[in-house]
Amino acid sequence: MLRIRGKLHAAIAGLALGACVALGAHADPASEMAGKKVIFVPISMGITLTEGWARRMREHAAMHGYSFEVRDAAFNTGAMSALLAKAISDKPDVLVVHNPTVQLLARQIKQATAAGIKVLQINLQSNQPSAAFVGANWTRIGTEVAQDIVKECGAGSGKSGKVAIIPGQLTAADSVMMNEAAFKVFKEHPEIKVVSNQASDWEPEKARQITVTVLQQNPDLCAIFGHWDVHTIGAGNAVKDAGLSGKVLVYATGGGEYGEACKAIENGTLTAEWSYDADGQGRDAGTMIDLLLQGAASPNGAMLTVESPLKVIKAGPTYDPSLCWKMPPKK
Amino acid sequence: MTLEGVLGPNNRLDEARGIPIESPDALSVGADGRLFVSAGRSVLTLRKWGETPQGCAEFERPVTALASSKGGMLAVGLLGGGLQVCDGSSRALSGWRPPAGLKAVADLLFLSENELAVVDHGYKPDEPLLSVAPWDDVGRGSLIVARRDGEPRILASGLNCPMGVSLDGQGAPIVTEFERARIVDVSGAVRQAGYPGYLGRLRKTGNGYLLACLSRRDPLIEFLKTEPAFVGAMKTTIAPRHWIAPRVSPEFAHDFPIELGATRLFGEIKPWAPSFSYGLLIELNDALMPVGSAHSRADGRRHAISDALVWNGDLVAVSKASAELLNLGSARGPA
Amino acid sequence: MSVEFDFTALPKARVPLLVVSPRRVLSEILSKGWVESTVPFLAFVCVIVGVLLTAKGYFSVDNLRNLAAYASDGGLVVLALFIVVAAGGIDLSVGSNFAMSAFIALYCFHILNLPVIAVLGASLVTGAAIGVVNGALAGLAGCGALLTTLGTAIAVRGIYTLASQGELVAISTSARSDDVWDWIGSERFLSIPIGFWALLIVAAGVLVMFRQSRFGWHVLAAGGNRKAARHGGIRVKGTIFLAYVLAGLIVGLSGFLYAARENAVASDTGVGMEFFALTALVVGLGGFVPGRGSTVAVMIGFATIYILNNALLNAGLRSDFVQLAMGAIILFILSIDTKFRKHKHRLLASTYVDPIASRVSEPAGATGLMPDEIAPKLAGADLLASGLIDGPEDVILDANDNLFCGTRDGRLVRISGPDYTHVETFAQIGGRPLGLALDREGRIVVCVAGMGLVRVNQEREVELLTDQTQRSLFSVQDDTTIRMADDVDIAPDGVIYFSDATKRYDIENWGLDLLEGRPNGRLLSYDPKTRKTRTICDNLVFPNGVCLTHDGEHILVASTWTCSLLIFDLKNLSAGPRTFVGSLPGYPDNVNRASDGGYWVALAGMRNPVMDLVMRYPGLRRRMTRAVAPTHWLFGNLNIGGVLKLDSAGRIVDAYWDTPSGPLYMITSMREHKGALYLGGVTNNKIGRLRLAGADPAWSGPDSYWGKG
Repeated sequence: MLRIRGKLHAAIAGLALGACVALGAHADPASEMAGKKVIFVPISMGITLTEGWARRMREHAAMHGYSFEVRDAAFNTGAMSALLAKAISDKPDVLVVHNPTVQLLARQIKQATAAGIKVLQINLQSNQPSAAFVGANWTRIGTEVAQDIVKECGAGSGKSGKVAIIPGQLTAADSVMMNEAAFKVFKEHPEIKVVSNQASDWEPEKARQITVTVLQQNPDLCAIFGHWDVHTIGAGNAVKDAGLSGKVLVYATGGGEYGEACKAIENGTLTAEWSYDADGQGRDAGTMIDLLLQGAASPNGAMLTVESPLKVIKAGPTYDPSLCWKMPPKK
Repeated sequence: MTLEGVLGPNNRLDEARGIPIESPDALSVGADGRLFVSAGRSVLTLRKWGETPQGCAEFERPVTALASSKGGMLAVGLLGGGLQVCDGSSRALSGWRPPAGLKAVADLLFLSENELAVVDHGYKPDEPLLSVAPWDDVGRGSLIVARRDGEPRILASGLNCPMGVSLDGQGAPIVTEFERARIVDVSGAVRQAGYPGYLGRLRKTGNGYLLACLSRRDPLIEFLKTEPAFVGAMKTTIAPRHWIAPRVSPEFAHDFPIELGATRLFGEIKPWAPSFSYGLLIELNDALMPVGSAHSRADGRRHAISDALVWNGDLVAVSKASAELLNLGSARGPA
Repeated sequence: MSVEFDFTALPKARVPLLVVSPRRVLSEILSKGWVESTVPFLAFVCVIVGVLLTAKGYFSVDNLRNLAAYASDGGLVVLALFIVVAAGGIDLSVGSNFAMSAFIALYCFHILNLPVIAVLGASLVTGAAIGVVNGALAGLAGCGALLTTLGTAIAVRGIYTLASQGELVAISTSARSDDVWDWIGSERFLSIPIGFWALLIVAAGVLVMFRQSRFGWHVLAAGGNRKAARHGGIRVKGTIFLAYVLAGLIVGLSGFLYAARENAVASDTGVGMEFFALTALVVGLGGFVPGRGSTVAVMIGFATIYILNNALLNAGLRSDFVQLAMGAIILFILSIDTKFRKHKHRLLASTYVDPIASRVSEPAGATGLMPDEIAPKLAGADLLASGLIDGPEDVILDANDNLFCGTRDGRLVRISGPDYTHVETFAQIGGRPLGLALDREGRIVVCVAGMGLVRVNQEREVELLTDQTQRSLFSVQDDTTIRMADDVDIAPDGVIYFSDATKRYDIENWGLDLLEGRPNGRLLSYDPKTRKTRTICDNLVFPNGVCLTHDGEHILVASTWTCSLLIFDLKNLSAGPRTFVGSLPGYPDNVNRASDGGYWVALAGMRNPVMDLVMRYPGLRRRMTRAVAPTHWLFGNLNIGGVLKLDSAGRIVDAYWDTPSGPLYMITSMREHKGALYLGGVTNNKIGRLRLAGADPAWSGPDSYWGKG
């Protein structure tokens, strides 16, 4: 109920903004964006990542007078492709898609593109290219994290060199690319042994269970590479519970929201997070939608791409909480 | 109350010994132990069961009620509201006059040697009570005390078809109401209600009461009470003898309807078939709660029990349908 | 023989052309078999209407295609579970099986690079293999289905997780594409997605299986009552085993279609699917009902749940909230449905009797002849075959003085003259034999309630002449079937005229037709030459006895509840009936010729003022059927009947009654034969015979109809 009420408030706020638009306070009435339709199909709402994006995208929509709708799949991949199919049938001008795996929605992105819909893939890309991509450079993150792990756990560190990887979904773009990049790095460092690479389905509890098992089998584990901060916090808790805080390094990537990333680092649950700054991504996505609605396209038909700047938040003397952004509390 | 438990069906009435009596109605046990039974215009008497009843008095009109006093008087109610009190040799005694305006005498009870309670159900002789009373809402009956050489005193009026009178444990009169199926006192307070029959007379026994029922309640008639339009039309367009109502006799009649479950098979009627006539005698305890019953079912003929009492330790009853005096054997408990 | 009536001078009898009653339409719908699916269907309609009102463009062609495309896997799994549940089992492993089959398909396609047909085969084998495990344990070994399939569900899910962790990345990054694969996954045939075709075909297959095939019937029998099925010679264990295998196979197909469409699986694929399918099934069947094969209802249940789920998700509700809402809605539907099912019988009983006001004219013409006015002449009748027969509705005597009658147990019996003590079964007919007539060849034509018109020849061969007539124009209920053939007579040209007393009640409940008081019956004819059955006159009030007048040119039809005899002119049947005699003092049953040129009319029961009055109050009768137990329903007096003697002009000249509690109480038929009257009663167990003083001792029915010799 709280959530619905929150939604209602948001909707009322949106209406208020819409009224402002109608009054011409902010928007250019001649804007070619006005009256257009944007649909966002996230893996799930209710997480700072997607809520942060949606907040910024909504601001852009209100500013320019186009509609912005969210179709929430709530972590259900089966429901998601059905939702996307419906969204395509609704013929939006821009479709923002958050791919749970590189393959699941590929065919539909192709269909949508063929139907003249500009598809913006956000953060997690698909095998299927489309009009635009806004998101992190996973290969770079994977490489950097792996290098950091090698530095901390590799030769000369006196550590075991054992690493557990906890992807969200093995076939999601981040895991596919980060694992590829990381394994490439680890290959050059045979002392690094990947002892586990089991997906958590983006659930903290499942990540915790996986970690408990891994720690039982490998008490000398050196590092955990969790692919998303939300579920990696579960892994971090398992480390804490085992009394191994500080001994087992917990790496994560994520949207860098204060309550998740910085707080976890402050209380020692996470060691480091490579943040792609969801708030900034939201603004990038909003801007990209504005551009797409104005007809922007890459001249050679390739994807217009905005790579999210990275912020590395690490525990220790260099820790800087200002690297995190804060989600404003819901009205 | 339904015909279940202690009120469950049996054949006690049909199995009882019987003595044919022409048009019997009321019973009374005299101070000398004789049993009086009304038979049309006469009153018969027996000293013990098995005797041929002897005529002891004859009247101008049919006898509708009997009562005996401790001092040996016999009060006789007559059709249309007549009242006579005789001594032990059937000689009329002076000083007893029927209260003015009496329409009928349904039952009588000596309160003392000088006081006689008279139940007037309020229906005139030309109104067939069994047909009419079930459809009446107005209480036109009364309980009156006739006094020897004195003015009568009205104990209760506006009673809904009162049929019998008896005394409760404290000696206060209680009255049965035919259609309401309940027992009330003179203040109109309900002492007990919900009996599954159309009530007749109520007689005190050593440890309780006997309640004679003229028929049993019928769900169809109860349902039709909720159909005022139809009942109104029935009352205005059909002669009362054809009305749907409880009946005395189980005889088949071509001009009376039946209920679906009552159709004959191979000429027979099933004992459990619904019927408008029924033989039912209920034994009550001091608190007027049923403790036993005797039945004559749809296929029986001893229907319409109008009176019952304990005589010489035996339970004796009158069936108007079969025109018999019945002996159901020894009455239960310390009589 | 002189005819003493003038047909054209008789009053016309009013026969409605059309009987319109909303209550009747409702009750007839309620008595249909498919009414069981009403609540799921209404729920479906509500969901559709709700979605239409709240979601704009939800049912656009595009989205319908989407719905169709995504419906196939869920729909197939529902069908699979349906088969198992119908067989009395349950399968919780459908979700795991689905994921596994889909994974196998992707693995075979992307990793093993198998051709699509082989991929399909692999999926089907996977699904069927899991079905074999389930079937072997739950069916053959007799382990509990719930725990067995829960076990396989967990085990298969484990295997799936292990296998998919290892292979999914490779599958996701495979670049293989294939025209057939893509066609199955995303193309349409005749603008319908391929997967949906598969669903349609499988659903049709299941429908046919449960309706037509021996295996389907065995499955339902095993599910309905395992013990009875075993006693019936069905190999129950084998049947249940096969049901599981078939279900597994269908799940395998479903997984394949999913794989082809999505080209991907995820760790949550198929999770919760068993509950989705179970929900759809429960909504469709109105409960967890083994042994019921209503495929259409199940598919409606599936469509309801699927669209509801999809629409709520699309409305922007979170899926956990959607699940909560679905749960609530399902509980609501089920509570209504259970209530409806529980009360359907009562609802039907209380709406089925559909009374109408009918005013029957006051009894007339029998003054001075009523039971309480004259001596009971039937008290002097002999009783024949007493206790040896059950329910001689009609009696007839042949030229050799043999007496025939039908019995309640479906036989035509012969009681041989002249002493009528020997009762033998003449022919075993079945149904409930009622009216009888002898044709020119001496064959007996029998009206059989619940069957139609039957003819028995002297060689005792039974031949069904007809059991249906034309369907009347406006009727919910198919009324072609002759429901209660009641009485029959044969015209000189051989055409058989017979009555179908009521189209709405069976022989056990024929009396309820009285409470209704509606024209529910009809007069039919059957021509042995053309073998055609015709409806002569529809919408008659309980047409009962049928009798050709002595001149052979008119036909008398007793209309029981209107207490009258109608008369038709054979030369002009379409002109409709006139009233030969009305205001009878009782309910006329059969009518037959008398030797003096008049007619005998059997009275099955007597009228009384209360019943006549109640007939004017249809609301009272309807309320009575609801408020009062059937045994206490007010009813016509069928405990006293008799025989009326009419002269040739239809005037009542005499009446014959038994004593009020005598054995000849309800007379449904009588035949005059050689100076005696033979009396039958449908609820009696004897035949009465009354010597008639002054009757022609040589006269017999066969002679009267077909001449001497």
